[in-house]
Amino acid sequence: MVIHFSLHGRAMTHYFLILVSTALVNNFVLVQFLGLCPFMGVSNKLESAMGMSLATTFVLTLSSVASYLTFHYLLAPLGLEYLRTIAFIMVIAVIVQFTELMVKKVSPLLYQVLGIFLPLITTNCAVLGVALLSLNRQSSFMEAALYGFGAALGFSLVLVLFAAMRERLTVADVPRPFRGAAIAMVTASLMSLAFMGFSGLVQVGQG
Amino acid sequence: MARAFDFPGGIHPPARKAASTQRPIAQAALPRRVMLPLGQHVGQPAEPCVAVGERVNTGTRVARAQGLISADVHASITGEVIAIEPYPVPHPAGLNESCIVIEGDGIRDDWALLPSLDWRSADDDTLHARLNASGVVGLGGGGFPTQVKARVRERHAIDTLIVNAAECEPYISADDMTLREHAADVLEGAQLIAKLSGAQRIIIGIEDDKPEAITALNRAIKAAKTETVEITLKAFPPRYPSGGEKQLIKRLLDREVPSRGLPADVGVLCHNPGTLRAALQVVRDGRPLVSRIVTLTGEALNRPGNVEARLGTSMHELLAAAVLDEARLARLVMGGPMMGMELSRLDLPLVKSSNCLIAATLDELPTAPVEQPCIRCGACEEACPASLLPQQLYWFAKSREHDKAELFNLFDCIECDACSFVCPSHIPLVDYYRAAKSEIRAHAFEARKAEHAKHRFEFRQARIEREAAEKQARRQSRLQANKRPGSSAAGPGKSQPSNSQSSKSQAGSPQAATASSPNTPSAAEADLKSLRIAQAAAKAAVRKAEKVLARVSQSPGNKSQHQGQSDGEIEDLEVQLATARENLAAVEARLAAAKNAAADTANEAAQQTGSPAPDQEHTK
Amino acid sequence: MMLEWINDHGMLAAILALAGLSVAFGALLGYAGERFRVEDDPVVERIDALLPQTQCGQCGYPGCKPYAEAISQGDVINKCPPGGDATIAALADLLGREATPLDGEPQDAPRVAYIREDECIGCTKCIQACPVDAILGAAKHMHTVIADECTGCDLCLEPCPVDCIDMIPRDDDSDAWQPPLPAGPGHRPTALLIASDRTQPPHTPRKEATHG
Repeated sequence: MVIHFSLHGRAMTHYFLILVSTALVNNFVLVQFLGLCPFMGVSNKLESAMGMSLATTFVLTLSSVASYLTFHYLLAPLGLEYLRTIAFIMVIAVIVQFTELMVKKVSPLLYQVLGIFLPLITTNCAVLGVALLSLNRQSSFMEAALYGFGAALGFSLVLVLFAAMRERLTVADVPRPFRGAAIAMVTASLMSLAFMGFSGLVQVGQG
Repeated sequence: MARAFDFPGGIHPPARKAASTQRPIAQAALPRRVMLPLGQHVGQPAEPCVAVGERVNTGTRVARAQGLISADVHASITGEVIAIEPYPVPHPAGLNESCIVIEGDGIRDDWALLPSLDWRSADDDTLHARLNASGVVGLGGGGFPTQVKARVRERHAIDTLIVNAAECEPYISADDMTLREHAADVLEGAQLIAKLSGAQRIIIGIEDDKPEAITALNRAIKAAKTETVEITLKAFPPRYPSGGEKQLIKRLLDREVPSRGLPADVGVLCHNPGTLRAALQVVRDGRPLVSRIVTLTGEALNRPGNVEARLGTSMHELLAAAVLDEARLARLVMGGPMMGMELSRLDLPLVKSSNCLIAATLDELPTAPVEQPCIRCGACEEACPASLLPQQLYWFAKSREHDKAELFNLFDCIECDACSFVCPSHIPLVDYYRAAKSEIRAHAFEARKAEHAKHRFEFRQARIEREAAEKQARRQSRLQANKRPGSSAAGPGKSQPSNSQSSKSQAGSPQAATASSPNTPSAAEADLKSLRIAQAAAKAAVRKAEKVLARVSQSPGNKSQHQGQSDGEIEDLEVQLATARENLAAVEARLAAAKNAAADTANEAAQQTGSPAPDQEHTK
Repeated sequence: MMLEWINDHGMLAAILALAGLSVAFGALLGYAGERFRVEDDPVVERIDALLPQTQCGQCGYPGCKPYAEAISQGDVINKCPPGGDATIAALADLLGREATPLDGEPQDAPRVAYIREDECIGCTKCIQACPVDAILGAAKHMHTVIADECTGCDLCLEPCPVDCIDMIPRDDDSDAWQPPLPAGPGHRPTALLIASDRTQPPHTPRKEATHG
């Protein structure tokens, strides 16, 4: 197993750019529109949003790495690349189960609060999306890991921001037709517009 | 000393004090009837100590302070007590309160004075005792019992006494006139309180729109220069609410009172000039608090001014003496237009916290406009003198998000109304905050009550369990005693009761036998071991409960109105301690029983090698 | 050599690979499940702290703690009448569930028990029934309710053989008047006097010789 650790500046810039790109420029929730289910479902309260973002970060990073390893050291040598979707889903399911056990141990209250959304991270298209997209980019191990972590960072950032805004929205003077999910969607779309301002910040693929 | 510090925010409402400062303080006519509410101060209402029909002199104590935070009430005229009943009193919702009604003839004024004291030479205990009997409370409108505030030295180190002569609220000029005419008394009262509290200097904070008062004070300071405590006068441009004690402390000393704290936490004591004068009067002249200086103003009065009026006088009498034009009267406000209380009737009694009565016409204080939605302009945040976020507090109060409101320091709001004053949507912000504070306090009370009920329930469970364990232990030892060969002599005698006993225990004894039978000695030992562990845990729990109780009962409370709460807290901890003790007793009973059982099975095992079971007769 | 075998038996290889992966992951999860097993459930404490502790049993459980445990295991949160909507809202907030309406009759004002002492026969049945020991008394002696400790759970009413216990409204500090929340946009401030119309002048007293 060969893992490239480039220690000179260019590689560090490269990794930093990956982080910025996945977290902000190509934010998975607001720009690529993946993972909207937990984004809308868990953002009612700030505490549950923070718990969810921690859980998803855990899952995303691990699953990105595990998917990379599974693909490159099990599926590819055996010529079973076509099985990657199933394999990745299995990997993600296992990691989510593991995360559930950890959350239950660390904070049973968070476990209760997240409820069904914790196992639903399995079906979070952002998680599978990260695994598949990082594969498409033909990332190295480090790149895959950072890709997953950056995606998780972006997800967490957006989730927490949105939760904070939704808390304010529940007590604001919203006109009747807009109350509830409607104003939440409007807010999300405005956030998405805001994140479009990041486009062009980083050109991924270069140095 | 020359640097000017400042507090944030604040507003500049029109002062409107000219009308009531034209004339010197007048003495109001002696009323023929006074109504003295028993709860005209912060804390527990006083309890009457006179009966209907009793004759009292001016200054006789008619109601005794109850508890730590309370004040006496004294008769303000000479006459007969004709009723002790609920009557309407100044209250935001117009509720009634128990009052002592005294009727006199409007002429006789016999004083029941206390012996005069020289505060310079009297010892602190005498002075405290005198203040206890004085009925003096904060006369700036706060109504906090002065004798409690005077004991601040017991819990805090005070270095500065601030005389709060700012009087920043529009219309009110009672302190201004008091200082113009009685500056020497106020200063002497300040020195008295400084002596009691241990303050090393006195600072008088006053707004510079009161030049006559400043002159009078400077004269008095010069005259008092031979005294030991340093007295300084600091005048500053007017801004509302510079008279708020936290704002004044920030302005004069640049010290910030911590959140939910008291001025004593930063070594400062604040007093109103009227209060200081009253404190001096009770010490030097032996006069309990029976009168106060009140500003009568408003355009519906043709003769506005300040009067010294007896407490309990009907406001209608005072306003009539100020030539009230009832046709033009639209609103009657007690206190100032910002923090005052609107009254619905004229015949309410003057209370200790009535520093001003505004008889306003409709033009002067128009009807409040209709509230409109918040436009999030942020003007309220600019005006807040406590650096809070009124807009956020508004949203949280409105949606009853109490924990968020507390997080945003709702309880640091001094309810000065500056935010409502500037709000372009005319939102009555302070009303929201008052409602939220009240709800939070009510919830906290309910939560404490529920917690206490839970502890009592747990105690009851523990007690029942202990009783059951002891009963079981007793029954077991009786059973063992019956099984023992040595007790055969007592057998026939108690065969009757013991039959029912043993028939019952026969059902139980196989179980007991299996539990502690010689066939499974390890089970018995395991039982003993787990019981010993339980005993150690129970002992630890008792020790912990004792420690917590000792710590809480010895810790100093602060002078807030949480005295009742801390009593409740101690009682709750006692219940928890009792529960822990019951648990320990239950475990020890079970342990003793298990030990006996183990010892007896060991004996049995030793005996079974000897004589054949003589216990058969007893288990019939 | 292995690659050739895989090329020949592609389907089998795929199935074996996936099966192998599943077995490996299953083992890992099984180990993790054992290693990170959680025995206690401190959520129950937090739920219990929100319940009113009247121990009345109206929820169907013998006390507040058992109901808290049931809630943590999935029971509905709307079974507590003494807690009322406020408790349901707080539980919904804590657990992230929906606040459903109360299943049962809402209790209006909090009440405490009061024993009519003329009729009390001193049987101690109510003392045994009270879950918080709020009744003072002994056999053949007068019984009385300590109003401060009474939670209004009604459990003493049934055992009394002479039916001498009344439930009266509680008179407490917390029942003192509370300033109301303003009505909101479109209304004038209401925090002042209830009966007053602010365009009318204050009442003037009637000219009476004596007070009422």
